[in-house]
Amino acid sequence: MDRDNSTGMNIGTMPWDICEYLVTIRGRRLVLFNHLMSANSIFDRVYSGNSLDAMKQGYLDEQFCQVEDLQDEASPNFAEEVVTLFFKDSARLISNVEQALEKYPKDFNRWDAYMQQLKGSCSSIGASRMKSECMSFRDYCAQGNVEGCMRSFQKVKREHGALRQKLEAYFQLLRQAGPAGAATRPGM
Amino acid sequence: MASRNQGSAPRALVVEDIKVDCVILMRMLHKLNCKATAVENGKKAVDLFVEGKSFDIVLLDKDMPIMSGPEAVAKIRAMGATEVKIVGVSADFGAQEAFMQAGADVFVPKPVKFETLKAMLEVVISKNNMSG
Repeated sequence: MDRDNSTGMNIGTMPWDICEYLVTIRGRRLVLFNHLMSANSIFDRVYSGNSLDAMKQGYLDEQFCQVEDLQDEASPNFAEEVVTLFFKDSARLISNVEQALEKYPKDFNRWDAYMQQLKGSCSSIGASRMKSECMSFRDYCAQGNVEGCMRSFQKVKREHGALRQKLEAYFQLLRQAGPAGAATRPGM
Repeated sequence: MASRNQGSAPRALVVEDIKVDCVILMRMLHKLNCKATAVENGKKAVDLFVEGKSFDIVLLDKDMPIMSGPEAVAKIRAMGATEVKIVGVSADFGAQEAFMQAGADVFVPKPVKFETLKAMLEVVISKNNMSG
């Protein structure tokens, strides 16, 4: 088992997409992990074998960095708190869209209005892939394309689930890498 | 109507129904040493002005339940609150016209950048200091 002695983290089984995400999203994290990890580190493997296409395919954009930059000693978990709030809100908004698709057939204005709210939330935390799918859905609404809306909505839900997994793993990693006595994790 | 706030922390009002957006804006304002209040719709914002509360800057979202941002802006201005800086904020670029016609000073697309907010507050602070 490939284990880093300074942190006790099992880097051998760390998921690749999370590794790439950490490299591409947070410049400061590069320094942190370089310091903590052994030579056979995530970073070495990422740089040697993988491109940084993860940036182009990134689940999160620069706005997420803006949110993280709002953290300080007084609010060390601000980003995680915001993300928790986002997933609570977005689950509700997705449910609203789902119910609207069922109960109000071809009510594109209603569908669009709900999706606009979700898109706004995605923008606020930098959830770029999810935001793109929200925009696709709205385009289909504008076209009056029911099938397109349904397909796009499924993609929105998939991106939502994928983003949730990645962020949960990300914050888990941060808690492992952080100082002893890190704050308790809010329910996500 | 609103008295100038000279030399003390800028007083900000955030009018936003989406919690994530509200929390982020409030945090930014806190980091910029503002005394910030948040309400979730335009009517509550107007009610604060009716109660005699004053603010140096008001940031409003466009689409909110009960009363929209532009509608609230129009009512606030109609009450004589001409000095308060009003900022329309929306992910919908089409909202700019609605806000400006209602009497907002500026429109900022969402998500609001920290540096943008900081620059707006610097204008507010310098205006307050000059009036002294």
